[in-house]
Amino acid sequence: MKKYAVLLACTFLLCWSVPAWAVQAHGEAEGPVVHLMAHLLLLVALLLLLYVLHTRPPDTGLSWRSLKLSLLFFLLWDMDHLFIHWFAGDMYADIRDSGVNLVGDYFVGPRTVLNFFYYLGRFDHLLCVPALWFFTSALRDFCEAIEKRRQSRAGQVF
Amino acid sequence: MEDAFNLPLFPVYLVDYLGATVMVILSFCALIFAKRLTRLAPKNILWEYFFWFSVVMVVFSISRGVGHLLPYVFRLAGLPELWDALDPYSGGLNTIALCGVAILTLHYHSTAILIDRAKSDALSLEIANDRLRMAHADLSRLNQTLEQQVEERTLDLRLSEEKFRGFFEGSKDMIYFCDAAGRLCDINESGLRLLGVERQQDIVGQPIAEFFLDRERGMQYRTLLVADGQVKDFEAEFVGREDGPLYLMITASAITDRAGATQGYQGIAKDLTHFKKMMEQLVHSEKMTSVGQLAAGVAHEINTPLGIILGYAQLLEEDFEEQTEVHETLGIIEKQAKICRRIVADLLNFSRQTLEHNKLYADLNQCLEEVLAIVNHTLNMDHIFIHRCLAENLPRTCFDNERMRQVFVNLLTNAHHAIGSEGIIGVWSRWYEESGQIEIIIGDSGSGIPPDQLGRIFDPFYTTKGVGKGTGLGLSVSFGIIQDHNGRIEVKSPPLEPELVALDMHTTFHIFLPIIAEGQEKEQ
Repeated sequence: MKKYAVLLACTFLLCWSVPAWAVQAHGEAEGPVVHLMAHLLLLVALLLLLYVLHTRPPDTGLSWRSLKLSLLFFLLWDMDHLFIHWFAGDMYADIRDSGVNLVGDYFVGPRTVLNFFYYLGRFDHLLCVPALWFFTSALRDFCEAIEKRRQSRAGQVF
Repeated sequence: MEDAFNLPLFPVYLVDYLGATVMVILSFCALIFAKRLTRLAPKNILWEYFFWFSVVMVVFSISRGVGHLLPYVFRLAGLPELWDALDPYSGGLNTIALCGVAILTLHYHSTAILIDRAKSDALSLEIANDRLRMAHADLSRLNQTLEQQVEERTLDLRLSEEKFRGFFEGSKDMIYFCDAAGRLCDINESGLRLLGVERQQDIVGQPIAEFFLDRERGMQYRTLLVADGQVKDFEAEFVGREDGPLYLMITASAITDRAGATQGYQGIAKDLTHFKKMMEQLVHSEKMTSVGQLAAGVAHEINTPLGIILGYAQLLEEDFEEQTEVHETLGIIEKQAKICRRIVADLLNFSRQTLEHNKLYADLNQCLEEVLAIVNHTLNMDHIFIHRCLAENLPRTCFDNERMRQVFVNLLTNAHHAIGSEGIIGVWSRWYEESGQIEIIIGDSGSGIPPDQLGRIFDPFYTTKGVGKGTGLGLSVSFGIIQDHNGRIEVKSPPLEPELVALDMHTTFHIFLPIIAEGQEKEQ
């Protein structure tokens, strides 16, 4: 029931969302808060999963290490997004839009650490792409391991 | 301007563009692998989680892809306002995807905990099941081998029971069991035979103390057994067979349960009656030998001066005329000296030291008949009847005829004196092939011999006759002669054999002589 309630709430918020300043635009008030809450929820879930895999690993090997790395990158990516969303409203920086010419766009504002980290944080794909890569790699290794095991069993039978 | 950032956003756009594209591709790849995993292992909760994670990641990648790519496309197309309309939906989908991933992860975690619990329970159940299976296997095996085990145990028990039953029944000693009150519960055949009882039920239930000849000794046995829990080599006389009391040596112990409470008593009694009699005979024989040696020494020393006295008395007698006082006195001296010489001769005869043996191969029945012929007249005068029962085929043996006659005369004379007048003297001769012995029995219907005198009648100079009627050497001389023939002489008063009792015999003398085959006398 809780799951459906959350899904229903997200859908409801999605329908009434309005543009907002962030890595990706959300609604005026509820949108960023809900999105921030979703990132927090994801942070908790990922921490829990990492803790479980670390304390009670189902197995050992390269594939499981890849999975852990994937979760770690997802976690960093989530933290990056939390940071970006959290401090987006406190910045005095701006984007100089050059219209159709994308090369002419610049991030302008006071030279502060916050602004610098915000700029760096915009490269979030440098975290989520490796995360998904390790995740895919882990799944592929799991598949291969299972198939090898099956083949070895079949070899034993025959 | 030096304190302001002026950072190009194109690298960001480029990374966003490429990253979003790669994300979409990778998410689909992940979905394909996850789907493959669920097919390879359909019931695995982790693979299931990865599948739905991948689904959400596809949605997430698409939403991000849309969020990152379309704004640039619309800007390049000169329609940036279109993105303003799509932006909320792209962001909402992105939020939903984030929530979905989080919920899936939490859900997986909860499910994993449940599965762990279920696995733990299943493992416990499996262990319990394994134990149950093992117990069942043990039970089945036990059930299959139970019959065999019971047979083996029964066989062991039977062998053990047979072993102990054999020991119990086959023992020549008396083995008995009593209850806590000291009443007989079980006794073996030897015990029944010793106590002179035919059936076990006649004796079961009787207190064992009642079988003691001396009740005080019985009480002592009981007291010791109760106090110490055992008695060892306890010597006691039991009321037993018809031929007299039993002399037993008892070793007994208490039977206790695990708590130490006395359940009963068990004991072994060894019959020492025969041994005791043998010991008594040995002691008596030794005594007689000592007495004989003493008598022989005395007789030998007296014989020489006695011969001189007799010789001088006879010489002096020739010097004086008859009918004179001196001649008569010398006659008395000669007569008394001759009596003394006869006594000395008897003593020497008893001690068997001086007489030369003249043993010949002859018939004892004939010897006995000759003696009976001599004494028959005297006995008839006193109305004493002689009952003869002589063995027809009595084997001939080697003996000194004269000395054996003396033995028979002594015994018949004693019997005559015991009867006085009017009675029966019985004479039997028997032989035993298995023991190689001849038995001569001479009995009388006299008054019998008191038990306290039975052990002394063969002692030299022991007599119950009046002064001048006997020297007390008759039986001792006979004892010596029989011993000299490697035989033995016994007295029974009253006799034990019913045949003898039926003839009113009150005292019987039993002479046992070995049967010596012809040619063996020299060896003897």
